[in-house]
Amino acid sequence: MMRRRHEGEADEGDFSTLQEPDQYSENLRSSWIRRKSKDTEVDVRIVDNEVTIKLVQRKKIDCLVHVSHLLDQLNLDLQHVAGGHIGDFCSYLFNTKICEGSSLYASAIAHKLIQVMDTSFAAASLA
Amino acid sequence: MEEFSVVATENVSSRQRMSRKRNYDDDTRVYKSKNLEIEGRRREKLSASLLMLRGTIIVDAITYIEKLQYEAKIDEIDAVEDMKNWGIQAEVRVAKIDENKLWVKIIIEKKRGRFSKLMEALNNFGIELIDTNLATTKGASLITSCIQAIL
Repeated sequence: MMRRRHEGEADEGDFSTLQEPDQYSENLRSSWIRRKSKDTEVDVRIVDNEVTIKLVQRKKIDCLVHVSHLLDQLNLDLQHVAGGHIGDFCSYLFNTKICEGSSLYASAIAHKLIQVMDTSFAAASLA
Repeated sequence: MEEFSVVATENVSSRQRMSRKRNYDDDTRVYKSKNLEIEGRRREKLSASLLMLRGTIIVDAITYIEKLQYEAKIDEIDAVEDMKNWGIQAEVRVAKIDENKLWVKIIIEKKRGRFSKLMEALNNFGIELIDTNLATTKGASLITSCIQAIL
C-alpha cells in the first residue's frame, strides 16, 4: 500500500520527489530525523511503512526492556534487532514495520525514545 | 313594585355570570387536555427514538468488538500455522561461555509483546543482556544473546 502524506517539519528531510519510473507510479513516503540528549542519540528513518531506528546510549542500562515496550505502544511490528555493548556505550539497530491502520512521524518516535531513555536514567540514578 | 323589579334584575345578572364561568371552565379544560395529549405523544416518539439510538450504539459496539477479536485471532492463527507449516519448533538453548557469562538461543512464536515480556522477565531476574540479536521470519522469532548476572 502506498502513502502520500508528507511531513512538514523543518528539521526533517524529505524525498517525496524520489521516483523509480519502472516500478512506482506514486511517490514513496520517506523521512528521517536525528535527536540527541546528554546520554542518548537516536536516528529514525521511515520509508513507506518501514521504520529503522538506531539507538546509541552512554552508560549501561538495559534499554531493551524500555524500547521494546515503547515499540509496542507505538504499534511498530518488530522485525529485527541487533546490538550490544561497546565500551561505555550500548548501540542497537531496530527494523520495524508500521502496523496497518496506524500512522507515525519520525519526530514522534525519536522524541518518545529520548524521553524513555532519560526517564530510565533518572530512575536508575535514584535506585 | 320597585322592590320586585330590583330583585328580578339581580337574579338575571347572577345567572349570566354563572353561565360565563361555566363556558370559561369548559374552554380551559378542553385546551389543557389537547395540549397534554400532544405533549404526551411527542414524548413517546422521543423515547422511542432514544431507545432505537441506544440499541444502535450497542449493536455497533458489539460489531466492533467482534471485528477486533476476529483480527486478533487471524494474527494468532497466522503465527502458529506459519511455524507449523515450516516445521519450526519453539526452543531454548543455554551454553556457558565464561565464569559469569552465558549464551542463549531462543525461538518463540512471533507475537506482539512477546519480546517485551521476555526482556522484562530477564531484567527482573537481574540478568543483563550484553550482545543481542533478534531476527524474525515465518511467524517465528529467533533471539540470541550473551547474558550475565548484574552484580
